[in-house]
Amino acid sequence: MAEHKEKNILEIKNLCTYFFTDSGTIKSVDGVDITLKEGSTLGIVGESGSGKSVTALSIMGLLMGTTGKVVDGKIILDGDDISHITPEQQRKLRGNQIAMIFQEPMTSLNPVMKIGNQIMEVILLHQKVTKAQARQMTLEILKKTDIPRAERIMDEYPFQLSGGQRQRVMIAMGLVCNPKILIADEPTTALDVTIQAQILDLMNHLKKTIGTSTIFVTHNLGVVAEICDEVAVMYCGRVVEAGDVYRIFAEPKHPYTKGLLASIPKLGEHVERLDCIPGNVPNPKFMPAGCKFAPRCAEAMDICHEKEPEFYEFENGHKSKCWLYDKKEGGVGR
Amino acid sequence: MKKVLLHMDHLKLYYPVRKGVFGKIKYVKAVDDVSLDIYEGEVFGIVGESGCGKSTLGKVICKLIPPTAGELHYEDEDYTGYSQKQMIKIRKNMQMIFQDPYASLNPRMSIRDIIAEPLHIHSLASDPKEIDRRVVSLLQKVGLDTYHANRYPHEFSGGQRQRIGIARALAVEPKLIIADEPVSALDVSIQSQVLNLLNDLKKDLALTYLFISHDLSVVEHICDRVGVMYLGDFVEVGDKYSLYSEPKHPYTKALLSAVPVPDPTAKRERVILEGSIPSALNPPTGCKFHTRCPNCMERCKNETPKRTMLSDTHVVYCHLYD
Repeated sequence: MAEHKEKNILEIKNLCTYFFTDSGTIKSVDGVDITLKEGSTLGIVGESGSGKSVTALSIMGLLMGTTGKVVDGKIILDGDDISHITPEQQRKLRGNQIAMIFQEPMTSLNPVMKIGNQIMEVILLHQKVTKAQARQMTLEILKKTDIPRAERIMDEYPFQLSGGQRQRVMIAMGLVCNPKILIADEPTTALDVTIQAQILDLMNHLKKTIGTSTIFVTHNLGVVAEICDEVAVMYCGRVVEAGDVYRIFAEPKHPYTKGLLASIPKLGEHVERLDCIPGNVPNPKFMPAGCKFAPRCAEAMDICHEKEPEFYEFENGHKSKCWLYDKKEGGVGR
Repeated sequence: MKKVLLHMDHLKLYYPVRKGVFGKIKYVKAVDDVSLDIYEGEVFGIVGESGCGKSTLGKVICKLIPPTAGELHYEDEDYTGYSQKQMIKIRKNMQMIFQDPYASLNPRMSIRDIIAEPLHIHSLASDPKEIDRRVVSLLQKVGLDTYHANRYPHEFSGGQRQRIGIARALAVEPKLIIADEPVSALDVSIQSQVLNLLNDLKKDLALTYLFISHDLSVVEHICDRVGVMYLGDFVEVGDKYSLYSEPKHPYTKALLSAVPVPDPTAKRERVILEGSIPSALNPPTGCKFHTRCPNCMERCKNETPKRTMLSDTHVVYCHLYD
């Protein structure tokens, strides 16, 4: 990226998304703060149920039809708060300024529509161009994703493509209107490792050439290390640690991040036993008081079970929500 | 001398596929000429991409799908032609753990009934008290509590369900466990718990595992020997140290280099393979990998590579080493 401005293209402040079900309120996302710098890639990591996908859906405004609602917080896209706009306005944003790539490339493409028409639909909806121009744009974007025989694929149906090719089509569809941000929700999870490597390679290449700001939701720490500039680690609907990718991997601060990094088997490393985080993610209906990770945390202190910690900041914007870094409460300090 | 527990000899499984009513019958060669020995007490890992036939091979070994050709031996017993009834005797020694802990437990059965079912089938216990005693000891072995016996699968998390699946497999005190992607549906923190459990059980009960997975780092962690499968057959088999540190087959090299490393400072020299795995309905001639191979030679296109022994424990099927 030639002009590297430190501009925040997306700022999420204290986002709370709750699901109101018959058996009670589920606080899927409870006070999430995230900033995405222009031209960079932010990884949101977490286990299932940590609220990473719900965060992505809240940004996209894709919660209608569910019992979920954004109850509090701000989502500021390039200076404008988009958390409480009408569905009409949201529709104008989606696909145009914010685009999303989903995990399952098979179920997120329309099986009875030709690839070309599906991508053209996005352009025709958001831009004033003729069909011929839209077709030309579609072809160009498909070629950018290095899909083989792009011209022919325009007239094929999703079932005729392999998983990797479908994901390339999804990426093309996401990028065709030149969105301000691209949200990729586990885009490589359903793919084989060799295909995953191809897609990661492509996304890294597109980042350099087009400079899209991307939010990359994943549970795979290896993928994060390859593609992200910044990382936000989520646990139980909260961001527990955030910062520069190098710092997070080299000096994780939160016991959860440390536990996650220690529990993955690494190539070329021979250990007798893997370190693991004991216990399970708590049931969202019966959340523990205080720090949500305290019941599984080996370093938990009394305060952890009583009160939720705030962010403690370290160098270069690296921050962690953990009492350990508060000297007053018996922690080691920063 | 290591004892061979399971022996496969030119094992094949072809699925017939007919295109149209009068179309010619073609075959999907899911498992194509696999010969392999599994030794007592080892953990043998099978890795490969989806569609390479690794799960099918696991099912064929248990004869959940009867093989098209070839022979299967357990210890010295040839069980290839056994009927379902005769298979019970073999399956007492050979149990499976499945990938999806949500689909592999009957939602209408209590945990006690799920774990006790193999005891009934193999007539190992009939006295209810004896069954209770065994169920409790199995639950403890896999790290669950006694009171869990009266609950139903939906009350458990994914990791706990996988533990129940493991307890069920252990109920008949088998020697060989075929684990088909046992941790791939689990979260990272839970995955390491289950891997540690499998490792502990192996040591305590002197088990042999056939561990099927697509995750190369998990396989390296848990296995002693590893076989890499591509389109129905092994391309490289070796002990994990030599296979992971000095992969020989171009496919193994590409596969290993494709694994994302959880270290942002790591330098990557990646072999990016083009395209995806060809259809098993119409596999390439010669070496099946030649369409994607970066080192493809003329003879690879027509000639099937022979088995080349690189050392006592390392075998590769590639013309480069012939």
